Amino acid sequence: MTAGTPNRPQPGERLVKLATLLFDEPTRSTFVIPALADYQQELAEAGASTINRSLAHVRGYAAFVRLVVAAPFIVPSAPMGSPVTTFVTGKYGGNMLLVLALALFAAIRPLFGWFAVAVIGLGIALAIALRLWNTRHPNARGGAADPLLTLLAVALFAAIWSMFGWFVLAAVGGGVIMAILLRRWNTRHPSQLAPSSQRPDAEINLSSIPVAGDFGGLLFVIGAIVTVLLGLPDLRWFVLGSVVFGGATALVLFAWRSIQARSTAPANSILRP
Amino acid sequence: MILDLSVLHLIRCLPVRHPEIPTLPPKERLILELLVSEGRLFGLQLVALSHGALKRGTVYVTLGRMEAKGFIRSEQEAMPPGAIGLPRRMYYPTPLGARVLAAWSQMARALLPEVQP
Repeated sequence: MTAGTPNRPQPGERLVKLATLLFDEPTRSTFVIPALADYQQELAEAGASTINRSLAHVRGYAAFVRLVVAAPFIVPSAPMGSPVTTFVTGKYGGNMLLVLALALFAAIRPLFGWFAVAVIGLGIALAIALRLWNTRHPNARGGAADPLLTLLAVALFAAIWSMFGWFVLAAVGGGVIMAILLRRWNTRHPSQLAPSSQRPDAEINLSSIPVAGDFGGLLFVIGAIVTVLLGLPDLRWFVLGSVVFGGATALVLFAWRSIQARSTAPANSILRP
Repeated sequence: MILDLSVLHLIRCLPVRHPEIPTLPPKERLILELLVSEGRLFGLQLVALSHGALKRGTVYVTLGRMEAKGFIRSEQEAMPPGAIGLPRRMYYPTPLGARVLAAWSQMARALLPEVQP
């Protein structure tokens, strides 16, 4: 806090705007604003000396960078709700899925060549077409989507026939048999729950598949990994590394959250009289 | 039987785990010492008084953690008329923080003769 003309831009204003993009309000008011106030105080105390002002600038920016790097690790909720976090993750993490999908396609580009590029292009075009159809025909449940999905599945199986050979046929046959068995089971053992009157929209994305954090979800993940490994054995080290790294990250996050939960508990029955 | 008694004695002498007791890492101890001895201080003053032990920027993360533990409290500096810029935050110890520091110092004094080489 210094004395001066209010119209003149204050040093650190850009850093405040940057902090607004990076952190939530409590983090900004508790950590960032006091640090930038120190920066302004040091600049005011530096006076007209160029060297002192330069040193104050360096120290202020270094402190800000250190704070930006350290805060998310020490206060896990610090970036929650900030515009950058919202942009990166999107609604329900959709943008992260997009980045993941692009990275996956980039990884398999050497294996599939232009096929991967064509799949991306056709997939985007199909997604746009389906979205347009659903927007224009909000009441037509699955009218155009079902034949398109079937056509897409047939085209996909035909395209990968030359690469996977009999594995494709086995997968198709196994899938059909499994579908028939599931249908027969459901017919003989109808659900006690009232069926939903609305049929869900047919969309080509994983978010349409209800996968929860339960045993069914675990089976889904294991099945997906096994499918990838059977079809693309060259990616086994990539998959193995991903599993190990993901597991280690989950363990570290779990341990970190446990430690944070303990250390922030102010309950103290012994030191109080 | 003698072995059993010695084991029982050993178990009785083992430290009792009290996970609810707040921890006091070195940086938090230093901040508490400075605040208890000097009274109310700004973050930059804490950095200056620590002689390099505390760093600009990250000192506020430590202060925020200590505030969450209940060791210190803070309030925003009142802006005098005509002043511009960002308001600073002033920190001061709570009674709990002072008691934790006193307990820690007492323990350190009790153990120091044994742990010193």
